[in-house]
Amino acid sequence: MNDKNKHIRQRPDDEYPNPGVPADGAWAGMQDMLDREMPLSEADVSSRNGNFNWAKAIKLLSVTCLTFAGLVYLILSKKPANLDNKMKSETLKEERNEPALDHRKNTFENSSKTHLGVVKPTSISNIIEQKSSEKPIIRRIQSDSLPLQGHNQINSESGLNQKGRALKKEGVSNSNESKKLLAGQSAVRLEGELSSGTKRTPGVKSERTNNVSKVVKTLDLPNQDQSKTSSIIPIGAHRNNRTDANSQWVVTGENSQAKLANQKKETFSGVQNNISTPSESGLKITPEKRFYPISMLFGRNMSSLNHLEQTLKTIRIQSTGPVSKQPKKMGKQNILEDIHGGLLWNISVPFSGYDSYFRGTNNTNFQVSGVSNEFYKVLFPGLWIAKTLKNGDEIVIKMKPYNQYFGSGNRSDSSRVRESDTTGNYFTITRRLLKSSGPNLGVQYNHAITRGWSVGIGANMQWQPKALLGNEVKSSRRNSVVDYVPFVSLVQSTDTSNYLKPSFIAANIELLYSWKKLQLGAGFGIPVTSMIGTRYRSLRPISGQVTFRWKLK
Amino acid sequence: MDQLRDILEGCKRNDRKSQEGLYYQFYPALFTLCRKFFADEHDIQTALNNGMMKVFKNISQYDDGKGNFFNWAYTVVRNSCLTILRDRKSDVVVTFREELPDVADYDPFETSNWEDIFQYLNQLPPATRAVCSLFYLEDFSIKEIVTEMGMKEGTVKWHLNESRNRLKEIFTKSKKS
Repeated sequence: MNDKNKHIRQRPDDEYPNPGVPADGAWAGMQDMLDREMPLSEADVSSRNGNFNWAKAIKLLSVTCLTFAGLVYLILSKKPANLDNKMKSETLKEERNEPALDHRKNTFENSSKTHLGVVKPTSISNIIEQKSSEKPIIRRIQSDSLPLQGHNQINSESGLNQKGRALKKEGVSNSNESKKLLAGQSAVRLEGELSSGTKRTPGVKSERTNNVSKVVKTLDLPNQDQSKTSSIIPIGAHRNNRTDANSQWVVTGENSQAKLANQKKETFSGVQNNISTPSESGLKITPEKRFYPISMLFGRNMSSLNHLEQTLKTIRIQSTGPVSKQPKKMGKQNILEDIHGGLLWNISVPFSGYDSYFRGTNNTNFQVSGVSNEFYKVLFPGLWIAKTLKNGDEIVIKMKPYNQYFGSGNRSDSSRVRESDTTGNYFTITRRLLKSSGPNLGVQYNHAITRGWSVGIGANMQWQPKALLGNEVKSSRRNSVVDYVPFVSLVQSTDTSNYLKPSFIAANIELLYSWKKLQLGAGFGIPVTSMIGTRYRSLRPISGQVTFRWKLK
Repeated sequence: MDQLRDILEGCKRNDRKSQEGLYYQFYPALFTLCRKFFADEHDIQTALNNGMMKVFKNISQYDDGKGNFFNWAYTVVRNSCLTILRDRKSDVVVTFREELPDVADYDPFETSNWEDIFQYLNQLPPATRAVCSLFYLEDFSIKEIVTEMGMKEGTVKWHLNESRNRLKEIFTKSKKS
């Protein structure tokens, strides 16, 4: 090649006369040749012009936005649930004036701990077995350090088994209790008349286990009849945010008592799930209404265990019903309250092409448009439905039966036709997209900046069954325009797919102002996928838009 | 250079965007090249696109260590023009002369700009135009023209002499006017 360098005087960056054939037309012919002799693979075709990447990106963005909006909604809609938790906590407040169990001689008045559990009575005497991989709540307790002599007895696993057998022998009415007590690996049982003098089993330790735990505390409460009164008291706040579900306590009453004798035998099961601490829930607990988690007793000075029975006595257990269903009811009500809807007018404001703004299209392809005025179509209202979030933001779904999108006269297709004579001259036919029209469906997220102003970003699917083109014919002989038709109709079909895609995705950003039931917005819209179907070029003209929303609900 | 290198890499992957970029970048120069040999725009475009098709097809064979890419593409497109000229059998009756003047003594395009050059070339018959362009504008020797065009040496000289005489007449007329 070097030996021929002397034959090259030209350089690519030199100044050359204007080529007689525009580069666009020449490249169109070159593309045809390339497609015939060097066809692209399907992947290359799909990725050409970057359309695929744009579409993929906008889809990903839309999914991300929707997911984010959903998460925001879920987070915000949990506020009523917190209120419910607060209500649940309220139900747990013990009324210290309740004399039901005041026969007990110990109280928790000196304790500063609070009880956070939810105690739910059930009609069936049962014991909730809780399997947990977490650490058991009961600390290792040296039995000889327990100040429970004559009152409480804490058994280790072996002790529990023994006591379970003992219970069985003693004819405990609830056989399941005995079985579970026997099966428990790390159970603590407090049995006996706490107020009366019972003997503490020496050398018995309360062990901590790391796997399945069933913590059972049995308190023999006074009862006039021989049947046991069992209550499962949840253990509230304790280490590692452990909840009552991790343990069960069985409180049984044996001895009769004046007020308990009149009460129906009840079994209470404690359920405490995801209950926030008083500080988290904003619940203020007065000193008079303090109540104490049983579990905390084992981490405290054991003298506080003496307060246990008093706590159990003084707790007034209220039936809260199936509290888990309550937030759902409130959530449904909020959803209906926050949904609004109304009419929508969206007016496109193109940067050029106003002469075709109201012009309609015929149903004949590439024929001169005979419909000169279809202004009424612009007045067709659309519908919108919005969900107002807690922070004032909105998620809006928009549906418009007729929406225009302007192509700003950009070239959508160019082809060449050889003239009928033998001179080799040809015509170059250039078609420019003026506008397309059709239904539109979109989703938009409006972020409230101030009370009246908000900014929105959204994605729209625009269908374009019809379009309006400008047709230009240029002759190579005179290098001049020989024919120009300003408005040519185009109807979506397989024959016209090169000129017009069935639909495209557009993004829009708006600044909105709300005043009473009206909302006025202005912004821009830009297609993220091409409006035209040719593989070689993409057409994504930006255009302005004015939005008017009327809130009916 | 980095941009051209990226374009060439894209062309090697048969990427249309890169091919389009390369086509648009060289289009003015290569169109001017083809215009030296052809008056008709369709012929110009045919020669140009045929040449660029060869460039795109054989771009993997280009070795940047052996020369500039533009020179390589330029040569390919020029050969495409010559191929078309060879395929068209000249209907010009060539008259041989015993003694031909030294055609290299005079360069009719020495001080002319592109528009003038094309204006002059348009006055010449196709074959004479091609030989004249190769000799005066492309610095081909007579032997190289003989090889490239498949003509006899006398025929090439005749074309050169013919172009010289015609251009002299044109220059004279233009000066008088």
